[in-house]
Amino acid sequence: METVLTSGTEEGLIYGFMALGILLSFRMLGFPDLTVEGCFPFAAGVAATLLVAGASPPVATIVAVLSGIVAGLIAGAIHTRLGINNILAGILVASALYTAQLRTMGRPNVPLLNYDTIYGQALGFLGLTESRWGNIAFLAMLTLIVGGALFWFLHTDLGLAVRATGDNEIMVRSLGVDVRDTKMITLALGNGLVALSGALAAQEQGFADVSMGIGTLVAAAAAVVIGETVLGQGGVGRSLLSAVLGSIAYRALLAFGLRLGFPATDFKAVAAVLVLLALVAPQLRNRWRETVTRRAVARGGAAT
Amino acid sequence: MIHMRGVVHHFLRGTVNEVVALAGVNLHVRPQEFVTIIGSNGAGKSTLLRALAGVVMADAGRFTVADTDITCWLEHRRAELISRIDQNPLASTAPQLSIEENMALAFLRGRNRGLGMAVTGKRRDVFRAALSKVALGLEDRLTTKVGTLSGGQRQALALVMAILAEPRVLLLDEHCAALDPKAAAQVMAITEKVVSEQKLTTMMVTHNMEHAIRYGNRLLMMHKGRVVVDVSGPEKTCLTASGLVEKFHILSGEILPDETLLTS
Repeated sequence: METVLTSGTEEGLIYGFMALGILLSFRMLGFPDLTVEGCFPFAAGVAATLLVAGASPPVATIVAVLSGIVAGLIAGAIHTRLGINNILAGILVASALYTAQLRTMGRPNVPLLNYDTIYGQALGFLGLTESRWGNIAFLAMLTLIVGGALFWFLHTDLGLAVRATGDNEIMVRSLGVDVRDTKMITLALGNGLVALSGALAAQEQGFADVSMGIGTLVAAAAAVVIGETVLGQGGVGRSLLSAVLGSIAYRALLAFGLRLGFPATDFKAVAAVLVLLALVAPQLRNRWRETVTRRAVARGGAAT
Repeated sequence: MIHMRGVVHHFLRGTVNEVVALAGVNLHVRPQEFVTIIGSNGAGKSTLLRALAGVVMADAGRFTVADTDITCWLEHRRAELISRIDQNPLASTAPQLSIEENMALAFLRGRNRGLGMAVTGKRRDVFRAALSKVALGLEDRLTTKVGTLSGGQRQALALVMAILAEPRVLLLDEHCAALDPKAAAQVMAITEKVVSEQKLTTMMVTHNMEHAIRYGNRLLMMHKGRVVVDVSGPEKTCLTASGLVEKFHILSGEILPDETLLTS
Protein backbone atom coordinates (compact mmCIF):
# COMPACT_ATOMS: atom_id res chain seq x y z
CA MET A 1 0.00 0.00 0.00
CA GLU A 2 2.81 2.36 0.83
CA THR A 3 4.35 1.91 -2.62
CA VAL A 4 0.96 2.65 -4.16
CA LEU A 5 0.88 5.98 -2.33
CA THR A 6 4.50 6.95 -2.85
CA SER A 7 4.66 6.00 -6.51
CA GLY A 8 1.23 7.58 -6.99
CA THR A 9 2.47 10.82 -5.41
CA GLU A 10 5.72 10.83 -7.36
CA GLU A 11 4.08 10.17 -10.71
CA GLY A 12 1.15 12.38 -9.78
CA LEU A 13 3.51 15.30 -9.24
CA ILE A 14 5.33 14.60 -12.53
CA TYR A 15 2.06 14.39 -14.44
CA GLY A 16 0.70 17.26 -12.37
CA PHE A 17 2.60 19.69 -14.62
CA MET A 18 0.75 18.16 -17.54
CA ALA A 19 -2.54 18.57 -15.66
CA LEU A 20 -1.68 22.26 -15.11
CA GLY A 21 -1.04 22.61 -18.84
CA ILE A 22 -4.37 21.00 -19.70
CA LEU A 23 -6.07 23.18 -17.09
CA LEU A 24 -4.86 26.23 -19.04
CA SER A 25 -5.69 25.09 -22.57
CA PHE A 26 -8.68 22.80 -22.04
CA ARG A 27 -10.38 24.16 -18.93
CA MET A 28 -9.61 27.89 -19.10
CA LEU A 29 -9.46 28.39 -22.87
CA GLY A 30 -11.81 25.55 -23.85
CA PHE A 31 -9.26 24.37 -26.40
CA PRO A 32 -8.95 20.55 -26.54
CA ASP A 33 -5.27 20.75 -27.38
CA LEU A 34 -4.15 17.49 -28.98
CA THR A 35 -0.69 18.97 -29.56
CA VAL A 36 0.15 17.55 -26.13
CA GLU A 37 -0.05 13.99 -27.47
CA GLY A 38 3.00 14.77 -29.57
CA CYS A 39 4.56 17.35 -27.28
CA PHE A 40 4.84 15.07 -24.25
CA PRO A 41 6.91 12.29 -25.91
CA PHE A 42 8.80 14.80 -28.05
CA ALA A 43 9.99 16.71 -24.99
CA ALA A 44 10.95 13.40 -23.37
CA GLY A 45 12.90 12.52 -26.51
CA VAL A 46 14.65 15.89 -26.62
CA ALA A 47 15.67 15.60 -22.96
CA ALA A 48 16.86 12.00 -23.36
CA THR A 49 18.83 12.70 -26.54
CA LEU A 50 20.54 15.69 -24.94
CA LEU A 51 21.41 13.71 -21.82
CA VAL A 52 22.90 10.92 -23.92
CA ALA A 53 24.83 13.53 -25.88
CA GLY A 54 26.34 14.75 -22.64
CA ALA A 55 24.25 17.81 -21.77
CA SER A 56 23.65 18.55 -18.12
CA PRO A 57 20.19 17.51 -16.81
CA PRO A 58 18.92 21.07 -16.13
CA VAL A 59 19.95 22.17 -19.63
CA ALA A 60 18.30 19.10 -21.20
CA THR A 61 15.12 19.77 -19.22
CA ILE A 62 14.98 23.47 -20.08
CA VAL A 63 15.58 22.83 -23.79
CA ALA A 64 12.79 20.22 -23.69
CA VAL A 65 10.44 22.79 -22.15
CA LEU A 66 11.38 25.34 -24.80
CA SER A 67 10.66 22.79 -27.53
CA GLY A 68 7.20 22.31 -26.01
CA ILE A 69 6.60 26.08 -25.99
CA VAL A 70 7.55 26.24 -29.68
CA ALA A 71 5.20 23.33 -30.46
CA GLY A 72 2.38 25.17 -28.69
CA LEU A 73 3.13 28.37 -30.59
CA ILE A 74 3.06 26.49 -33.91
CA ALA A 75 -0.30 24.87 -33.08
CA GLY A 76 -1.59 28.28 -31.97
CA ALA A 77 -0.42 29.95 -35.16
CA ILE A 78 -2.03 27.25 -37.31
CA HIS A 79 -5.29 27.77 -35.43
CA THR A 80 -5.37 31.55 -35.06
CA ARG A 81 -3.50 32.79 -38.14
CA LEU A 82 -4.49 30.13 -40.66
CA GLY A 83 -7.98 29.56 -39.28
CA ILE A 84 -7.67 25.80 -38.89
CA ASN A 85 -10.06 24.09 -36.46
CA ASN A 86 -8.54 23.70 -32.97
CA ILE A 87 -8.57 19.90 -32.79
CA LEU A 88 -7.15 19.56 -36.29
CA ALA A 89 -4.41 22.11 -35.57
CA GLY A 90 -3.33 20.01 -32.58
CA ILE A 91 -3.43 16.74 -34.50
CA LEU A 92 -1.34 18.19 -37.31
CA VAL A 93 1.38 19.37 -34.96
CA ALA A 94 1.29 16.14 -32.91
CA SER A 95 1.66 14.14 -36.10
CA ALA A 96 4.63 16.21 -37.24
CA LEU A 97 6.19 15.94 -33.77
CA TYR A 98 6.11 12.13 -34.06
CA THR A 99 8.48 12.35 -37.03
CA ALA A 100 10.51 15.06 -35.32
CA GLN A 101 10.95 12.84 -32.27
CA LEU A 102 12.06 9.79 -34.28
CA ARG A 103 14.50 12.01 -36.18
CA THR A 104 15.82 13.51 -32.95
CA MET A 105 16.26 10.23 -31.13
CA GLY A 106 17.27 8.25 -34.22
CA ARG A 107 15.34 5.23 -32.92
CA PRO A 108 11.99 4.63 -31.17
CA ASN A 109 13.43 4.25 -27.66
CA VAL A 110 16.34 5.91 -25.84
CA PRO A 111 17.30 4.34 -22.48
CA LEU A 112 18.78 6.59 -19.79
CA LEU A 113 19.75 4.05 -17.21
CA ASN A 114 23.40 4.97 -16.75
CA TYR A 115 23.05 8.72 -17.09
CA ASP A 116 22.80 11.34 -14.40
CA THR A 117 19.29 12.85 -14.25
CA ILE A 118 17.74 16.01 -12.89
CA TYR A 119 16.64 14.05 -9.82
CA GLY A 120 20.15 12.94 -8.94
CA GLN A 121 21.52 16.43 -9.46
CA ALA A 122 18.77 18.19 -7.54
CA LEU A 123 18.96 15.77 -4.63
CA GLY A 124 22.74 16.10 -4.57
CA PHE A 125 22.31 19.88 -4.54
CA LEU A 126 19.78 19.67 -1.71
CA GLY A 127 21.95 17.19 0.20
CA LEU A 128 19.35 14.42 0.10
CA THR A 129 19.99 10.78 -0.68
CA GLU A 130 18.45 9.39 -3.84
CA SER A 131 15.16 7.80 -2.93
CA ARG A 132 11.51 7.99 -3.87
CA TRP A 133 10.88 10.36 -0.97
CA GLY A 134 13.74 12.53 -2.12
CA ASN A 135 12.24 12.69 -5.60
CA ILE A 136 8.86 13.59 -4.09
CA ALA A 137 10.42 16.41 -2.07
CA PHE A 138 12.17 17.80 -5.15
CA LEU A 139 9.03 17.50 -7.32
CA ALA A 140 6.88 19.12 -4.63
CA MET A 141 9.27 22.08 -4.50
CA LEU A 142 9.25 22.38 -8.28
CA THR A 143 5.45 22.21 -8.27
CA LEU A 144 5.29 24.99 -5.70
CA ILE A 145 7.59 27.18 -7.78
CA VAL A 146 5.81 26.54 -11.10
CA GLY A 147 2.33 26.68 -9.52
CA GLY A 148 3.21 29.90 -7.72
CA ALA A 149 4.48 31.46 -10.95
CA LEU A 150 1.27 30.43 -12.73
CA PHE A 151 -0.85 31.81 -9.89
CA TRP A 152 0.98 35.11 -10.16
CA PHE A 153 0.77 35.22 -13.97
CA LEU A 154 -2.97 34.53 -14.04
CA HIS A 155 -3.52 37.55 -11.79
CA THR A 156 -1.58 39.97 -13.96
CA ASP A 157 -3.22 42.14 -16.65
CA LEU A 158 -2.00 39.79 -19.36
CA GLY A 159 -2.98 36.67 -17.40
CA LEU A 160 -6.43 38.07 -16.76
CA ALA A 161 -6.85 38.67 -20.50
CA VAL A 162 -5.79 35.05 -21.06
CA ARG A 163 -8.41 33.79 -18.60
CA ALA A 164 -11.10 36.08 -19.99
CA THR A 165 -10.44 34.88 -23.55
CA GLY A 166 -11.79 31.46 -22.59
CA ASP A 167 -14.70 32.99 -20.71
CA ASN A 168 -16.02 35.55 -23.21
CA GLU A 169 -13.94 35.95 -26.31
CA ILE A 170 -16.29 38.48 -27.93
CA MET A 171 -16.05 40.79 -24.94
CA VAL A 172 -12.29 40.47 -24.67
CA ARG A 173 -11.86 41.43 -28.32
CA SER A 174 -14.16 44.42 -27.86
CA LEU A 175 -11.93 45.57 -24.99
CA GLY A 176 -8.95 45.79 -27.29
CA VAL A 177 -7.26 42.43 -26.77
CA ASP A 178 -5.98 40.54 -29.79
CA VAL A 179 -7.37 37.12 -28.86
CA ARG A 180 -5.06 35.47 -31.38
CA ASP A 181 -2.20 36.47 -29.09
CA THR A 182 -3.84 35.40 -25.84
CA LYS A 183 -4.70 32.02 -27.37
CA MET A 184 -1.13 31.53 -28.52
CA ILE A 185 0.20 32.47 -25.08
CA THR A 186 -2.14 29.92 -23.49
CA LEU A 187 -1.07 27.15 -25.86
CA ALA A 188 2.61 28.03 -25.44
CA LEU A 189 2.34 27.89 -21.64
CA GLY A 190 0.20 24.75 -21.72
CA ASN A 191 2.60 22.87 -23.96
CA GLY A 192 5.61 24.16 -22.04
CA LEU A 193 4.14 22.58 -18.90
CA VAL A 194 3.34 19.35 -20.74
CA ALA A 195 6.92 19.29 -22.06
CA LEU A 196 8.26 19.75 -18.53
CA SER A 197 6.15 16.79 -17.52
CA GLY A 198 7.54 14.75 -20.44
CA ALA A 199 11.16 15.60 -19.62
CA LEU A 200 10.65 14.72 -15.93
CA ALA A 201 8.82 11.49 -16.79
CA ALA A 202 11.59 10.31 -19.13
CA GLN A 203 14.24 10.93 -16.45
CA GLU A 204 12.21 9.22 -13.77
CA GLN A 205 11.34 6.08 -15.74
CA GLY A 206 14.80 5.95 -17.35
CA PHE A 207 13.84 6.10 -21.00
CA ALA A 208 12.05 8.10 -23.66
CA ASP A 209 9.75 6.28 -26.03
CA VAL A 210 7.97 7.40 -29.16
CA SER A 211 4.67 5.89 -28.03
CA MET A 212 4.51 7.40 -24.54
CA GLY A 213 2.13 10.17 -25.58
CA ILE A 214 -0.92 8.12 -26.49
CA GLY A 215 -3.95 9.17 -24.44
CA THR A 216 -2.05 12.03 -22.77
CA LEU A 217 -4.82 14.59 -23.22
CA VAL A 218 -7.55 12.36 -21.82
CA ALA A 219 -5.43 11.18 -18.89
CA ALA A 220 -4.55 14.77 -17.94
CA ALA A 221 -8.13 15.91 -18.40
CA ALA A 222 -9.22 13.05 -16.13
CA ALA A 223 -6.78 14.27 -13.48
CA VAL A 224 -8.17 17.80 -13.78
CA VAL A 225 -11.79 16.70 -13.47
CA ILE A 226 -11.03 14.39 -10.52
CA GLY A 227 -9.48 17.38 -8.78
CA GLU A 228 -12.45 19.59 -9.59
CA THR A 229 -14.87 16.95 -8.30
CA VAL A 230 -13.03 16.66 -5.01
CA LEU A 231 -12.14 20.31 -4.40
CA GLY A 232 -14.89 21.98 -6.41
CA GLN A 233 -14.43 24.80 -8.87
CA GLY A 234 -13.44 28.16 -7.56
CA GLY A 235 -10.75 30.76 -7.95
CA VAL A 236 -7.44 30.43 -9.73
CA GLY A 237 -5.63 29.08 -6.68
CA ARG A 238 -8.13 26.34 -6.10
CA SER A 239 -8.07 25.34 -9.79
CA LEU A 240 -4.27 25.02 -9.76
CA LEU A 241 -4.28 23.06 -6.53
CA SER A 242 -7.07 20.76 -7.64
CA ALA A 243 -5.27 19.96 -10.92
CA VAL A 244 -2.16 18.81 -9.03
CA LEU A 245 -4.10 16.91 -6.37
CA GLY A 246 -6.31 15.38 -9.05
CA SER A 247 -3.22 14.20 -10.86
CA ILE A 248 -1.88 12.57 -7.68
CA ALA A 249 -5.26 10.89 -7.05
CA TYR A 250 -5.41 9.64 -10.63
CA ARG A 251 -1.89 8.19 -10.54
CA ALA A 252 -2.54 6.60 -7.13
CA LEU A 253 -5.67 4.97 -8.57
CA LEU A 254 -3.61 3.75 -11.50
CA ALA A 255 -0.95 2.32 -9.20
CA PHE A 256 -3.64 0.68 -7.12
CA GLY A 257 -5.22 -0.83 -10.23
CA LEU A 258 -1.85 -2.20 -11.32
CA ARG A 259 -1.45 -3.76 -7.88
CA LEU A 260 -4.78 -5.50 -8.30
CA GLY A 261 -3.48 -6.94 -11.55
CA PHE A 262 -5.16 -4.65 -14.11
CA PRO A 263 -2.82 -3.79 -16.98
CA ALA A 264 -2.00 -0.08 -17.30
CA THR A 265 -3.63 -0.04 -20.72
CA ASP A 266 -7.04 -0.55 -19.10
CA PHE A 267 -6.78 2.92 -17.66
CA LYS A 268 -7.15 4.68 -20.99
CA ALA A 269 -10.79 3.58 -21.08
CA VAL A 270 -11.30 4.42 -17.41
CA ALA A 271 -9.91 7.92 -18.02
CA ALA A 272 -12.14 8.38 -21.08
CA VAL A 273 -15.25 7.41 -19.09
CA LEU A 274 -14.24 9.70 -16.21
CA VAL A 275 -13.80 12.68 -18.50
CA LEU A 276 -17.08 11.98 -20.29
CA LEU A 277 -18.90 11.75 -16.96
CA ALA A 278 -17.37 14.99 -15.75
CA LEU A 279 -18.36 16.76 -18.96
CA VAL A 280 -21.99 15.57 -18.89
CA ALA A 281 -22.41 15.87 -15.11
CA PRO A 282 -23.52 19.54 -15.15
CA GLN A 283 -26.22 18.73 -17.74
CA LEU A 284 -27.40 15.67 -15.81
CA ARG A 285 -27.49 17.67 -12.60
CA ASN A 286 -29.64 20.37 -14.20
CA ARG A 287 -32.01 17.82 -15.69
CA TRP A 288 -32.29 16.05 -12.36
CA ARG A 289 -33.06 19.33 -10.58
CA GLU A 290 -35.74 20.16 -13.14
CA THR A 291 -37.34 16.76 -12.66
CA VAL A 292 -37.31 17.15 -8.89
CA THR A 293 -38.81 20.62 -9.15
CA ARG A 294 -41.48 19.48 -11.58
CA ARG A 295 -42.46 16.61 -9.30
CA ALA A 296 -42.58 18.89 -6.29
CA VAL A 297 -44.78 21.35 -8.18
CA ALA A 298 -47.00 18.51 -9.39
CA ARG A 299 -47.43 17.35 -5.82
CA GLY A 300 -48.44 20.88 -4.89
CA GLY A 301 -45.46 21.35 -2.61
CA ALA A 302 -43.02 24.20 -2.68
CA ALA A 303 -40.09 23.75 -5.04
CA THR A 304 -36.84 23.48 -3.18
CA MET B 1 -15.74 63.18 -34.18
CA ILE B 2 -17.05 60.39 -36.41
CA HIS B 3 -16.89 60.46 -40.20
CA MET B 4 -18.35 57.67 -42.32
CA ARG B 5 -18.15 57.95 -46.08
CA GLY B 6 -19.75 55.62 -48.60
CA VAL B 7 -20.12 52.72 -46.19
CA VAL B 8 -21.42 49.63 -47.97
CA HIS B 9 -21.90 46.18 -46.51
CA HIS B 10 -23.52 42.97 -47.76
CA PHE B 11 -24.43 39.77 -46.01
CA LEU B 12 -23.89 36.46 -47.83
CA ARG B 13 -22.10 38.37 -50.54
CA GLY B 14 -21.82 36.59 -53.86
CA THR B 15 -24.64 34.15 -53.12
CA VAL B 16 -28.26 34.14 -54.32
CA ASN B 17 -29.28 35.16 -50.81
CA GLU B 18 -27.15 38.30 -50.85
CA VAL B 19 -28.60 41.05 -48.68
CA VAL B 20 -27.58 44.69 -48.78
CA ALA B 21 -27.19 45.73 -45.14
CA LEU B 22 -25.64 49.16 -45.75
CA ALA B 23 -26.18 50.83 -49.12
CA GLY B 24 -23.75 53.73 -48.96
CA VAL B 25 -24.02 55.55 -45.66
CA ASN B 26 -22.47 58.99 -45.26
CA LEU B 27 -22.54 60.37 -41.76
CA HIS B 28 -20.78 63.01 -39.77
CA VAL B 29 -21.26 63.02 -36.01
CA ARG B 30 -19.94 66.05 -34.14
CA PRO B 31 -18.19 65.84 -30.77
CA GLN B 32 -20.56 65.34 -27.81
CA GLU B 33 -23.49 64.60 -30.07
CA PHE B 34 -25.88 61.93 -28.76
CA VAL B 35 -27.43 60.31 -31.82
CA THR B 36 -30.36 57.93 -31.57
CA ILE B 37 -31.02 55.59 -34.47
CA ILE B 38 -34.32 53.92 -35.26
CA GLY B 39 -35.60 51.88 -38.18
CA SER B 40 -37.39 48.65 -38.97
CA ASN B 41 -35.77 45.24 -38.73
CA GLY B 42 -33.04 44.82 -41.32
CA ALA B 43 -32.66 48.56 -41.83
CA GLY B 44 -28.95 48.34 -41.09
CA LYS B 45 -28.87 50.12 -37.71
CA SER B 46 -26.91 47.48 -35.83
CA THR B 47 -24.73 46.73 -38.83
CA LEU B 48 -23.77 50.40 -38.98
CA LEU B 49 -22.56 50.33 -35.37
CA ARG B 50 -20.87 46.96 -35.85
CA ALA B 51 -19.11 48.22 -38.97
CA LEU B 52 -17.91 51.30 -37.09
CA ALA B 53 -16.64 49.19 -34.17
CA GLY B 54 -15.00 46.73 -36.54
CA VAL B 55 -17.06 43.73 -35.40
CA VAL B 56 -17.82 43.36 -39.10
CA MET B 57 -15.42 44.77 -41.65
CA ALA B 58 -17.44 46.81 -44.15
CA ASP B 59 -17.18 45.90 -47.84
CA ALA B 60 -16.49 49.52 -48.75
CA GLY B 61 -16.30 52.99 -47.24
CA ARG B 62 -14.00 54.96 -44.98
CA PHE B 63 -14.21 55.49 -41.23
CA THR B 64 -12.57 58.29 -39.31
CA VAL B 65 -12.81 58.71 -35.54
CA ALA B 66 -11.19 61.63 -33.73
CA ASP B 67 -9.32 62.62 -36.90
CA THR B 68 -7.80 59.14 -37.17
CA ASP B 69 -8.55 56.97 -40.19
CA ILE B 70 -9.49 53.61 -38.67
CA THR B 71 -10.77 51.95 -41.85
CA CYS B 72 -8.05 49.30 -41.84
CA TRP B 73 -7.94 48.78 -38.07
CA LEU B 74 -9.27 45.49 -36.71
CA GLU B 75 -11.83 45.43 -33.93
CA HIS B 76 -9.40 45.06 -31.03
CA ARG B 77 -7.44 48.09 -32.23
CA ARG B 78 -10.55 50.24 -32.70
CA ALA B 79 -11.42 49.49 -29.06
CA GLU B 80 -8.86 52.12 -28.13
CA LEU B 81 -11.28 54.80 -29.42
CA ILE B 82 -14.65 53.07 -29.45
CA SER B 83 -16.69 51.33 -26.74
CA ARG B 84 -19.67 49.26 -27.81
CA ILE B 85 -22.38 47.56 -25.77
CA ASP B 86 -24.34 44.74 -27.35
CA GLN B 87 -28.05 44.09 -26.79
CA ASN B 88 -27.23 40.69 -25.36
CA PRO B 89 -26.42 41.12 -21.64
CA LEU B 90 -24.21 38.01 -21.87
CA ALA B 91 -21.97 39.56 -24.54
CA SER B 92 -20.35 42.49 -22.77
CA THR B 93 -19.20 40.93 -19.49
CA ALA B 94 -17.29 37.75 -18.56
CA PRO B 95 -19.44 35.51 -16.30
CA GLN B 96 -16.70 33.41 -14.65
CA LEU B 97 -14.72 36.44 -13.58
CA SER B 98 -15.52 38.71 -10.66
CA ILE B 99 -16.80 42.26 -10.99
CA GLU B 100 -13.37 43.69 -10.18
CA GLU B 101 -11.69 41.42 -12.72
CA ASN B 102 -14.14 42.53 -15.40
CA MET B 103 -13.45 46.13 -14.44
CA ALA B 104 -9.69 45.51 -14.61
CA LEU B 105 -10.08 44.20 -18.15
CA ALA B 106 -12.03 47.31 -19.14
CA PHE B 107 -9.59 49.59 -17.30
CA LEU B 108 -6.88 48.83 -19.87
CA ARG B 109 -9.17 49.11 -22.91
CA GLY B 110 -7.06 49.47 -26.01
CA ARG B 111 -3.78 49.51 -24.11
CA ASN B 112 -1.00 46.95 -23.84
CA ARG B 113 -1.42 44.44 -21.08
CA GLY B 114 1.73 43.59 -19.19
CA LEU B 115 2.73 41.68 -16.10
CA GLY B 116 1.52 44.15 -13.49
CA MET B 117 -1.17 43.00 -11.09
CA ALA B 118 -4.64 43.31 -12.64
CA VAL B 119 -6.47 44.16 -9.42
CA THR B 120 -4.61 46.45 -7.04
CA GLY B 121 -5.82 48.48 -4.10
CA LYS B 122 -5.48 51.69 -6.09
CA ARG B 123 -7.46 50.31 -9.01
CA ARG B 124 -10.10 48.94 -6.64
CA ASP B 125 -10.73 52.50 -5.43
CA VAL B 126 -11.20 53.63 -9.03
CA PHE B 127 -13.59 50.73 -9.70
CA ARG B 128 -15.60 51.45 -6.58
CA ALA B 129 -15.95 55.13 -7.43
CA ALA B 130 -17.04 54.33 -10.99
CA LEU B 131 -19.53 51.67 -9.87
CA SER B 132 -21.03 53.83 -7.15
CA LYS B 133 -22.27 56.22 -9.87
CA VAL B 134 -24.84 53.67 -11.05
CA ALA B 135 -26.13 53.23 -7.49
CA LEU B 136 -26.83 49.51 -7.74
CA GLY B 137 -24.60 48.53 -4.84
CA LEU B 138 -22.15 46.78 -7.18
CA GLU B 139 -19.27 48.68 -5.56
CA ASP B 140 -19.75 46.57 -2.42
CA ARG B 141 -19.69 43.30 -4.34
CA LEU B 142 -16.37 43.58 -6.17
CA THR B 143 -15.48 39.91 -5.75
CA THR B 144 -18.89 38.58 -6.84
CA LYS B 145 -18.85 36.50 -10.00
CA VAL B 146 -20.57 38.41 -12.81
CA GLY B 147 -22.47 35.28 -13.89
CA THR B 148 -24.58 35.55 -10.73
CA LEU B 149 -25.83 39.07 -11.57
CA SER B 150 -29.17 39.84 -13.25
CA GLY B 151 -29.37 40.99 -16.87
CA GLY B 152 -29.99 44.58 -15.80
CA GLN B 153 -27.05 44.56 -13.40
CA ARG B 154 -24.82 43.07 -16.10
CA GLN B 155 -25.80 45.77 -18.61
CA ALA B 156 -25.25 48.49 -16.00
CA LEU B 157 -21.82 46.98 -15.31
CA ALA B 158 -21.16 46.82 -19.06
CA LEU B 159 -21.97 50.53 -19.25
CA VAL B 160 -19.58 51.39 -16.43
CA MET B 161 -16.92 49.24 -18.11
CA ALA B 162 -17.55 50.88 -21.47
CA ILE B 163 -16.80 54.38 -20.19
CA LEU B 164 -14.15 53.48 -17.57
CA ALA B 165 -11.20 54.11 -19.89
CA GLU B 166 -12.80 57.25 -21.37
CA PRO B 167 -13.35 56.21 -24.98
CA ARG B 168 -13.89 58.85 -27.66
CA VAL B 169 -17.09 57.21 -28.89
CA LEU B 170 -19.79 55.16 -27.16
CA LEU B 171 -21.96 52.83 -29.26
CA LEU B 172 -25.11 51.38 -27.71
CA ASP B 173 -26.74 48.64 -29.75
CA GLU B 174 -30.23 48.26 -28.23
CA HIS B 175 -28.53 47.75 -24.90
CA CYS B 176 -31.87 47.77 -23.06
CA ALA B 177 -33.80 45.53 -25.47
CA ALA B 178 -33.34 42.27 -23.56
CA LEU B 179 -34.21 43.75 -20.16
CA ASP B 180 -37.56 43.90 -18.38
CA PRO B 181 -39.22 47.36 -18.48
CA LYS B 182 -38.09 48.34 -14.99
CA ALA B 183 -34.47 47.34 -15.54
CA ALA B 184 -34.54 48.94 -19.01
CA ALA B 185 -35.72 52.25 -17.54
CA GLN B 186 -33.01 52.05 -14.87
CA VAL B 187 -30.22 51.32 -17.36
CA MET B 188 -31.50 54.07 -19.68
CA ALA B 189 -31.45 56.58 -16.81
CA ILE B 190 -27.88 55.57 -15.97
CA THR B 191 -26.96 55.86 -19.65
CA GLU B 192 -28.26 59.40 -19.89
CA LYS B 193 -26.46 60.37 -16.70
CA VAL B 194 -23.03 59.05 -17.70
CA VAL B 195 -23.27 60.29 -21.29
CA SER B 196 -24.06 63.84 -20.21
CA GLU B 197 -21.56 63.78 -17.34
CA GLN B 198 -18.68 62.57 -19.46
CA LYS B 199 -19.80 64.53 -22.54
CA LEU B 200 -19.45 61.39 -24.64
CA THR B 201 -20.07 61.26 -28.36
CA THR B 202 -22.73 58.58 -28.46
CA MET B 203 -24.70 56.60 -31.03
CA MET B 204 -27.63 54.56 -29.71
CA VAL B 205 -29.72 52.12 -31.71
CA THR B 206 -33.16 51.53 -30.24
CA HIS B 207 -36.47 49.96 -31.15
CA ASN B 208 -38.15 52.17 -28.60
CA MET B 209 -39.54 55.21 -30.40
CA GLU B 210 -40.09 57.05 -27.15
CA HIS B 211 -36.47 56.55 -26.08
CA ALA B 212 -35.28 57.71 -29.49
CA ILE B 213 -37.23 60.94 -29.15
CA ARG B 214 -36.64 61.56 -25.46
CA TYR B 215 -32.90 60.93 -25.35
CA GLY B 216 -30.13 62.49 -27.37
CA ASN B 217 -29.88 65.62 -29.46
CA ARG B 218 -30.03 64.08 -32.93
CA LEU B 219 -32.22 61.36 -34.42
CA LEU B 220 -31.57 59.20 -37.45
CA MET B 221 -34.02 56.88 -39.10
CA MET B 222 -32.64 54.16 -41.31
CA HIS B 223 -34.35 52.16 -44.01
CA LYS B 224 -32.91 49.56 -46.35
CA GLY B 225 -29.34 50.42 -45.49
CA ARG B 226 -29.67 54.18 -45.84
CA VAL B 227 -30.24 57.10 -43.50
CA VAL B 228 -33.66 58.46 -44.53
CA VAL B 229 -34.40 60.89 -41.70
CA ASP B 230 -31.85 63.06 -39.91
CA VAL B 231 -33.16 65.65 -37.46
CA SER B 232 -31.41 67.53 -34.70
CA GLY B 233 -31.71 70.61 -32.53
CA PRO B 234 -35.10 72.20 -31.95
CA GLU B 235 -36.70 70.13 -34.68
CA LYS B 236 -35.85 66.97 -32.74
CA THR B 237 -37.11 68.43 -29.48
CA CYS B 238 -40.52 68.90 -31.08
CA LEU B 239 -40.70 65.41 -32.62
CA THR B 240 -43.63 63.14 -31.84
CA ALA B 241 -43.97 59.44 -32.53
CA SER B 242 -46.79 59.93 -35.03
CA GLY B 243 -44.93 62.78 -36.67
CA LEU B 244 -41.93 60.51 -37.14
CA VAL B 245 -43.97 57.77 -38.75
CA GLU B 246 -45.50 60.29 -41.13
CA LYS B 247 -42.10 61.63 -42.02
CA PHE B 248 -40.91 58.17 -42.73
CA HIS B 249 -43.82 57.54 -45.12
CA ILE B 250 -43.17 60.69 -47.06
CA LEU B 251 -39.44 60.15 -47.35
CA SER B 252 -39.35 56.46 -48.12
CA GLY B 253 -42.44 56.67 -50.32
CA GLU B 254 -43.83 53.36 -49.26
CA ILE B 255 -45.82 51.66 -46.56
CA LEU B 256 -43.68 50.20 -43.81
CA PRO B 257 -43.80 46.44 -43.73
CA ASP B 258 -43.66 46.35 -39.96
CA GLU B 259 -45.08 49.62 -38.82
CA THR B 260 -45.86 48.16 -35.43
CA LEU B 261 -42.19 48.01 -34.62
CA LEU B 262 -41.83 51.71 -35.13
CA THR B 263 -44.80 52.76 -33.08
CA SER B 264 -44.33 50.44 -30.15
